[in-house]
Amino acid sequence: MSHSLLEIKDLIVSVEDKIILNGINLTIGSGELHVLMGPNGTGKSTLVSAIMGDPRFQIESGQILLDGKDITEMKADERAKAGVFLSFQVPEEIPGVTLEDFLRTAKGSLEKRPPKILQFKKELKEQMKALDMDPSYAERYLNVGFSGGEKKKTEILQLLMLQPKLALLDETDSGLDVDAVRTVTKGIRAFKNRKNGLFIITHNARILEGLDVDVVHVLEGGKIAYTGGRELISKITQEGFGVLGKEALIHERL
Amino acid sequence: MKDFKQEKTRVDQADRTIYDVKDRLDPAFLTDSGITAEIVNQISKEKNEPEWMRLFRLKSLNTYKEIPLPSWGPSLDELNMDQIVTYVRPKSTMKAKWSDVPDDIKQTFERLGIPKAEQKSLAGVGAQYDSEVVYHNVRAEVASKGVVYTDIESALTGPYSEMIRKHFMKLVPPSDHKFAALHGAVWSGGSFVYVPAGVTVDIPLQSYFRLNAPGAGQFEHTLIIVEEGAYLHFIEGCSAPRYYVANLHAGCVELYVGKNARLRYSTIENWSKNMYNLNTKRASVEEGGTVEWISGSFGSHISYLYPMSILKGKKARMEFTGITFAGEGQNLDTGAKVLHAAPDTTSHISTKSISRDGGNSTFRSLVTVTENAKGSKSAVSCESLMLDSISRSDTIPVMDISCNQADIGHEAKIGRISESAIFYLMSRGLSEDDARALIVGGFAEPIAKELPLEYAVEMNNLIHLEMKGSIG
Amino acid sequence: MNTQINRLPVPTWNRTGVNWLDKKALPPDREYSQGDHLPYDGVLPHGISLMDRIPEEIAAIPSGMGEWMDEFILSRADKTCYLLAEGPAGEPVIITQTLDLTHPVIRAHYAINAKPGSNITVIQINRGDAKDGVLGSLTQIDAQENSVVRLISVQLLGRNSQSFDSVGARIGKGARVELVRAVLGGKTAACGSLAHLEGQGGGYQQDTAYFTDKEQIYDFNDIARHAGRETESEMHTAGVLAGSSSKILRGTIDFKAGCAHSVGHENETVLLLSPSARNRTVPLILCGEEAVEGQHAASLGQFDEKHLYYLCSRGLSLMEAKRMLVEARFMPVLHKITPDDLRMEILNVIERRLDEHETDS
Repeated sequence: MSHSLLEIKDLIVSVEDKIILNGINLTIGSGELHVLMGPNGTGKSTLVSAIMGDPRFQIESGQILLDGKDITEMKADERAKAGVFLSFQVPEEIPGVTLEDFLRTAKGSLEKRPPKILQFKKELKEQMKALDMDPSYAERYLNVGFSGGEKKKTEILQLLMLQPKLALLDETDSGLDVDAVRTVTKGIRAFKNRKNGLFIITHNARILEGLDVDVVHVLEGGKIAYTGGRELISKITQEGFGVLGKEALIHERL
Repeated sequence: MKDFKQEKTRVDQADRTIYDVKDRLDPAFLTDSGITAEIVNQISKEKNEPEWMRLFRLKSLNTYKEIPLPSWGPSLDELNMDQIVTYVRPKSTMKAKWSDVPDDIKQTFERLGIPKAEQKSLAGVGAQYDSEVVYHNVRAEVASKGVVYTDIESALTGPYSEMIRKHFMKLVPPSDHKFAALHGAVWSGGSFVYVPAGVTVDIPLQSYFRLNAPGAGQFEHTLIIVEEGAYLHFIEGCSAPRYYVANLHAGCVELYVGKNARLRYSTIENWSKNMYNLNTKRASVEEGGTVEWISGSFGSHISYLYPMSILKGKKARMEFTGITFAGEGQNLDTGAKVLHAAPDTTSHISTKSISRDGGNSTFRSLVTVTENAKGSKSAVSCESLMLDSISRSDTIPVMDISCNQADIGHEAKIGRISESAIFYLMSRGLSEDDARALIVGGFAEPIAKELPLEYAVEMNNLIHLEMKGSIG
Repeated sequence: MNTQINRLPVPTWNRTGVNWLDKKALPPDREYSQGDHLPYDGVLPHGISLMDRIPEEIAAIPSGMGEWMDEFILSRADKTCYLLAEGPAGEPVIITQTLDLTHPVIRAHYAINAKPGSNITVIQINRGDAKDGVLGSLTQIDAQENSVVRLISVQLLGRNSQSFDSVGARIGKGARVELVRAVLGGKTAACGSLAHLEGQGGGYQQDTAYFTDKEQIYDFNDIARHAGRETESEMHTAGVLAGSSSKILRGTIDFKAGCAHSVGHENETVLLLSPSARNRTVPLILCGEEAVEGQHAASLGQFDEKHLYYLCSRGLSLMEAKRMLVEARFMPVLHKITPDDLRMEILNVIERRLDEHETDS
């Protein structure tokens, strides 16, 4: 039995005084892969952003525990140090900071000592190769002038280099062509092991090919409306979310 | 867009016939040219105004004498103040019915389409001819809400006299610059508008200024007070026939926008091309209030025009949308100023300018953010279009920022009509002239869409008129 | 002293105070010696030689700070360095001027005579400090056909000294001039540059980075004047203002009639760290030619919250993230600065001053 890596209790989150998430309860065990689905605008991004500690979102009440430790009050960098990683839906472009310098600094912060230069460079080169990335990108400014696909690959590169305990992927597959999705999935497979956890927001199941999905959650109306196994995915991608509503109602009546 | 097919015949000069008709000069009274204490006293006496105003005029005159001409901007060397007649009283007093206005003056305004527009789309109209307002009327249903729309002279002696005294040239003090001082000394005519708290005036009010006398100055004063939560759209139009002596327009507009109130102030300026347009416009905006300026500058020989907004209350907002079209013999220096003096204030300045046939257009702006304007935002964008290489287009913005929690953006672009765009349109069957006119019209479109329909049409006509002169 | 240094090419409202250099930043009003015109005596890299005299046509090239400053340095230089470049790219010429008790005033006059097809890099380092110190330099560049001139200027003076750094360049057909500036020191610092793009296809690139704090006053007047056809200019300035410092940047793209098919871009980003700092930005585009493309963009404000969050989400502390973003602003300039230890020195100065700022506030 795996221990719980992420535990969310009665989480209520607002943005600009408007409640977006209204009582989320969720547990992800170590070694598990959970998928989060739901119609647009239901707060999927809000949930992962709140887990990461985005200052734009206000946690009204509830708790977020990582490895049993309460991280609800922590700032984003403390959460990162505790082991949380978010692959942004829209990664920031930061001129003047090269991808390599950025990753080295981040790794140094997480590991509390600067990485050994040669070893770091070697690892970076290998990981970039595995993700079909041009090695010259290491010297380019972070995400500046990158295509949508390159930005998402860069997020996965960071995931692989920083090796967090819990990875949150916010629509990492959206806007990517088939080859790019395949590469990203390859990266996720390389990341996944029995100790870490993955929480993936996706609209289509392509990114999940070859991955063992443990649990699927459906977010609606600020709550987890439905939780089930992998079979939910094909149901939703084929028939839409409406089908769940009916089933949920029937389920409740029973 | 207009149907270009009708415009096939070439014309060398833009057709300004409706604007250029000169009336026979037949004033009831006019001062000598030049500016002296004697003349100022004479104007004051003619108007039967309160003593404080006479003293205010004389003080302004002293200030005028002390302040030098601006050391920047288009040259004013050819403006000989000694030859400007500061006060020309038409042979009519103010009327509330067009049928009472003397025929020749009435015909002038009819040619300009004012009475017709009044019936169709305006809540009230004021019409000034040379130095005095000859017509003023406001719809009964608007007046019944407590909205006051009258000429300033009547307001000076009526129930609003104290309000006028409290606000008159307080936003634009005579010490501001030489022509503000001149205005303080010889101002005449203009409008006073008062919109009580909570009142929304659904359809616009309009003032139209017509300068007929050659060598004269027009110095009208517009004072608008929009109280808490009220809304008003005010339109100002101006024109004059062309003479070979300099005419001067040194008007002053003061707008007081109350808490959560909104005022939209639109101007289509089409003075003749012998006009020195040295106009000063300023608004103060209280908490949550909004001022919106729409400004089209087409006429004048020389213009200095930079409407200023003072955002003095929290979350006050200003928007400025302007277009300037400088043709032959024109040097139009226009732009906007904004002072962010309170937290969370926003300003948005968007301008377009077009230069052709040796015309010179300058965009000049000033965005000031004071230390306590935390959370303020300002965005300025100006685009200039050069239609030939004998014209000029300059961009001179200043940003003065003393607040570290503000977000300030500025963008300026200059260029010409893209050859590939012309080619594209020609490949669809348009002539080159039509393609150019279409592109220039499109360039001005964001401004046109801010105007009420009739005025957008007038502006498009003006642009089209101007373009016809430039093609070939 | 009746002088107008760093004049805005077209004046605007006087009360904005941007029409010329503030009185407080003028050189001290006192008697200045005639100057010894001591020629440079260091070793020059291969392909670069010293001229005995400056050719008249180069001495006539106007600089960005204006006639007064040109005259001040030309006629009374303490040191001169008239370089002649004839060959391909080689080692950079590195010249350091140091103010100290015995040399509280240094006026340095540089000329770069870049012959057709030549390539030269000159690095000027100004450092040291003295009570009422003045370090003035004038660099006149004649970049002839297809030559490449790169001028790197690093100013690290102490807080008792004033800096005046003026550059004038004539850029010939197909020639290219790059000006790279890192401005960090001084009680006051005024910089001016005027690039006259005379020949067809000439190019000008300017990258400036500055960091002001405490009571520092910085003042820039940079002009790209396009006269030749198909000329290009790129002017980029990035800066950080802390303490109660103030800064004015005048950046002008001037398209003269006849410079058809020229392109000029200019941008500035300013990071305001302190509520008592004052930034003034005056980006002019003057245009007398139809077939050109000119663009200016400026963004002034605080740290981008989204950038900070993104960096923090990867484990950087807030301070580390801020430091990274400040250094990022210097990157386009730092990338072009050699040798490495000079680059590191600049980075250390920035870090130290950012730390000071964070502890103060």
